[in-house]
Amino acid sequence: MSFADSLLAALDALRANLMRSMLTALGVIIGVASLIAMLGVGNGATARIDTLISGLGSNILTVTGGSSQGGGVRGGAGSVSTLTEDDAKAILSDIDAVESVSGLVNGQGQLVYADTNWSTSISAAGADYLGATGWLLASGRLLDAHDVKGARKVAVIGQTVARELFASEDPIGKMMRINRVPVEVIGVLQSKGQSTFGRDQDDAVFVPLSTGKRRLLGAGAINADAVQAIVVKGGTTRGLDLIEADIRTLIRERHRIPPGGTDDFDVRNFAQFLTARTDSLRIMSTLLAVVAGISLIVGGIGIMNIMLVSVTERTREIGLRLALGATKGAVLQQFVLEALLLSLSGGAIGIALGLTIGFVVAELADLQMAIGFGTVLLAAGFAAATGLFFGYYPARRAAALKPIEALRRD
Amino acid sequence: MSLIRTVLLGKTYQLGEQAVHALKSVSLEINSGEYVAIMGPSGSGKSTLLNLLGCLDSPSAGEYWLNGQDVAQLDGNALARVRNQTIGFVFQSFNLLPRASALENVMLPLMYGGVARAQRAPRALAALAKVGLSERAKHHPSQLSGGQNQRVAIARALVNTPKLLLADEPTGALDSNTGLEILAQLDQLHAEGLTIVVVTHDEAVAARAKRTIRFRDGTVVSDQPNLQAQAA
Repeated sequence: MSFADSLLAALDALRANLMRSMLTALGVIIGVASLIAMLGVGNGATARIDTLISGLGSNILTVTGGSSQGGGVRGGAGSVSTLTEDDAKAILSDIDAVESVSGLVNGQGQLVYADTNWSTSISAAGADYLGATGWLLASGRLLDAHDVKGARKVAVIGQTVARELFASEDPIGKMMRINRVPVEVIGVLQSKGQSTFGRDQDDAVFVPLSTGKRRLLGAGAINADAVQAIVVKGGTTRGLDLIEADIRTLIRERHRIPPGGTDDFDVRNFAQFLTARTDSLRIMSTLLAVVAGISLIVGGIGIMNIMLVSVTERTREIGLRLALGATKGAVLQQFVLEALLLSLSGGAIGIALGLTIGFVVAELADLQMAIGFGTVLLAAGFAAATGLFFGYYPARRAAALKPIEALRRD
Repeated sequence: MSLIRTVLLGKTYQLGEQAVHALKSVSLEINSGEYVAIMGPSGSGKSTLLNLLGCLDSPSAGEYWLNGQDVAQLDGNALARVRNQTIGFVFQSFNLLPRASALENVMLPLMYGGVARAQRAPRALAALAKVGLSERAKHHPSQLSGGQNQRVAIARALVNTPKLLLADEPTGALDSNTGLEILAQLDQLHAEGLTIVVVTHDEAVAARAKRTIRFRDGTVVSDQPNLQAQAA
């Protein structure tokens, strides 16, 4: 009995009980589909966080002003501008392996161009800020040291602002008004998309720190030297944690905080934070994959159950086949193939279903479904292994039947 | 030359605590080309003997030589080969696969015999033609009469050109007219030189055979040539 003969006999037996075969395969279908969908969406989410991390710029530390404290009421981080541009300069000059620093002041601004207006966030920052935080230029140029030194009225805008304010016009060289001050657009940035927190990062305008503080945001009115945050880009020669420790020591010294006193600033490493998020996401998708794996096992047990029933039902048929000259091997092969066909067809349908679910979920969650050919093969392999493992025992029972006992059975 | 030779063949079943001696020390010889009826009341051991002769069951004692070969020395695969090549079975209840057509049923032994796919259908059709069922090759067992089904079963038993045809109450499930057709078929096969052993408790069936072996309580009580049939 050739392999093709066994295959045909197995197919025939499955067709004879079509409803039962489909229900049996359903367990594997669900297992494989959830495995594929989980892995695809999980990988997609992880991949997106990875791009977010690289979008933040690598090796970035953000020093923010501490919270205000008055009469026991504490404000949020940065609510007091304890940091100054001198702190920034000191970080650059005193700490090893710091590549660049820039002060940062954030505010809100009303933009007007021709008869259109748009409200957005204004970030006033040093010349190195955009490069350090991973922004790429789409057209025009970035802010440079001259813009900052001269407090030039120039701005680099994000894609959303370009779209909302300039529509189809080329914004480069156009004059817009920010809080009624005329500012020239010198650059448009490439899109970064949503941040992890769901904010549209492209809805932003970047101006020189000096320009922002003095002319646009009015922050300089209180303390001309103050900044809300200092963005530090570390070099590659030292670990970011060492730089972070140095920054803490330096700023404490500069702010004359006695030992044991509370910092009036905070140093954050967003990339680290996001990495932690990625880790938790990985754990989550691993867990879900495990659950999917368990349902695959349950599907396998379903196959085993039905195959045992089938062997019992077809005992006479097996007896007859043995009487006509079937070897144990031929009977074993036929029943293993039946189980394998069940699990493999279930696997194939499951892969198709899983990919569909994955793509729909990814579409809804605005993710990129990331499923490799290897993963699909792995799922198919799992399904096949399930069929083999759970199909072997019933098949052996069938093959072990004594011809005369099988023939006599009703 | 003897096709079948048993030496003190015995079969004991364990029924709970009790050992049942279904067959006790049976020694007999059947030559090539013989037509033998095995008779006896139920429980006499005649079916047990048939199962042993067909290599469907293994003896608890004694020897069984088939076609010059000691069957006890054969492993499972060799036994399967003997059942496939040397022996053809005809059962009382036909034992056809209900899902398969007459042709497919007849092709089963060819498949297990490793006959190439392309040769199976012609050989199976030839076997069906021999039993006069060429027209019904595509019919399923449920679409055929009892007699037709038994002829399909005979075609299946013959398709591998066996040396020995074993029939267990071949007419037991048929009305007498149809039974006669089947018996005529067996007569013809015997005339062509096939060795036939038929188990029955119907004297009319046994009367067709050339030799009758009677069983009681697991032993042979008589073994006589059937003079009437021999004359015919």
